[in-house]
Amino acid sequence: MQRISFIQGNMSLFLKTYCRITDGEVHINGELFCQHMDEDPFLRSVYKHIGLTYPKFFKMDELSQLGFLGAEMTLMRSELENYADDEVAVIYSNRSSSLQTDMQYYETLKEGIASPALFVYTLPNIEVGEICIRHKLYGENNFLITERFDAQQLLQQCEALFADNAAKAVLIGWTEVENGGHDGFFAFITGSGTNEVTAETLTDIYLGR
Amino acid sequence: MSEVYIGAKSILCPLGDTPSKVYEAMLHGETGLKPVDNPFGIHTMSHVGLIPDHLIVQEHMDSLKLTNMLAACYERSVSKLRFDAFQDEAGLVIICTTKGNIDKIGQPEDPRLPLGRLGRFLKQSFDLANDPMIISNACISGALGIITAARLIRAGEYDHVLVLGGDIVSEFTLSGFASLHALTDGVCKPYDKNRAGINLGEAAAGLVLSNDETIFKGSHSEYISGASANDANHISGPSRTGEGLHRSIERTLKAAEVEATEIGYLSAHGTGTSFNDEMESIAFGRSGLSETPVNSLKGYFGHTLGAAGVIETLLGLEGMKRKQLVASLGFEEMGVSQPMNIIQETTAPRSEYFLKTASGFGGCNASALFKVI
Repeated sequence: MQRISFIQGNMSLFLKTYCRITDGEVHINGELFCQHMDEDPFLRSVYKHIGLTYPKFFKMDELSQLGFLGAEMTLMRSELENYADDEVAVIYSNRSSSLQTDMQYYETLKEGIASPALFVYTLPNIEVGEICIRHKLYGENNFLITERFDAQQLLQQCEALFADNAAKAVLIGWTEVENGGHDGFFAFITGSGTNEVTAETLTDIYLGR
Repeated sequence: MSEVYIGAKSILCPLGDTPSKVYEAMLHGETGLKPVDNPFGIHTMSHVGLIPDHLIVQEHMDSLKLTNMLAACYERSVSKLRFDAFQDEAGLVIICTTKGNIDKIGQPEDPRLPLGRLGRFLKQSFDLANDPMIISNACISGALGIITAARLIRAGEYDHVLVLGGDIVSEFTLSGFASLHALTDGVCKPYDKNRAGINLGEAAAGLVLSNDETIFKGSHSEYISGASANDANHISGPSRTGEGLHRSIERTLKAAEVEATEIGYLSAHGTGTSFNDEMESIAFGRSGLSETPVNSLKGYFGHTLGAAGVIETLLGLEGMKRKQLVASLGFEEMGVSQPMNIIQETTAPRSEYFLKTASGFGGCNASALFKVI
């Protein structure tokens, strides 16, 4: 049972840019951006396709790589220069937290040498930290765990931040990695613009409807 | 801005299971950090804050430690309200945790391992109207839960929000902090010259935020403002300039139209690591808080990770009500570069304004301001 928000009637939210990363394909604003063609692992191949040089990318775990790439492609098309460095919030979400890296860390522990490099990535918000470092974002952060992509909850967070004057735009994200599969969705949400968005329309976009 | 009230405290930590028991123990200088021989087979001299078994209620259907802890706090917080506000759609429960039921790792088929499970268990057990929101944002999870709750109430999304923070001490987290060489031998000494790292502790705690002050049976305080900010600097090391923490404090005070000099008490993060404590001293200095009475509570029950922001806010509110702020346990000799007014014996707050701060991996920082009369 979802409560109808008070302010949804008053406050409109707008979608500036969105990016979908699923197995083997990247779409930006609904259009195919690249496909997995070469021998590299998928995320590495996307990284190459963008043409970015950012050596830290190779130190990241898979969850952070997914979230980082999604942020890169979304923010590059969102006129970030129009915002002060603390006006853009990053709110990410997923189902499994950092479980894949948790398991990898736990294996190193059971093999006798716990890996500090892996342990650092056993928090889901590390990917948000990576994004803030890359784009010099000093704004609000949050990481939410939901059983499935929850547009309602993410947009509710945007509304609450805008109402509190805590952000002028929010990069929202859903990043799930499991057994080599990737499910990433990223959107740049603003308080003013032309392309109004609701939880229903955002869910439709995520589902590819 | 509409008013947001905070109260209905519940707590479960190494020092006890009621706010007054825990606070009395702290006033007596007791610590819940104890030596444990090779905890989980990990070789460490670091003392650990474990909740005594007899304090954890086993009557709930889920046999897991953390879910039992959260359920106990849910019941105790709700018992301090005039009605159970969370079986109605105007009420929301927020769970703040870094690792949830991480003690189930190694049993990957256990359906209770994924973090999202915690919400489902509470929803079923207590017949909650809404799915609980789960925040997992490293060591600021608890503080961020409180700020998020207040924002949702002010935005008109909910009338009442119960913020539950909880994390356990497990083989997973203890071995991880050991691998980072972040654990101190013995007991931590926040801001002290000889500080050498953290202790891990486990805790659960609950606070209710509401737009209706008549919902509380007992005393309550006021939430004023709060903000989070990222350092944009490093994923596991704090900023050398305290940038994110400074910015979060600035935004919090600006929104409240309160000057730094008006703050009566600052409850800091104070983990007892060299870098964290130094970073805080710089951020507090930049924010005009060098003279503000400040303590870290980590010496009493350790670093409780996702619970830290909730349990430390709760005990800060308790101290403000009593007008007895406890000493920063473990502190003897100044060990940070910027001046700080560290509380060394029980003292009264300078004003009714209480500021709580937290910082964590991922470069995240949060602060929240309260008014306690």
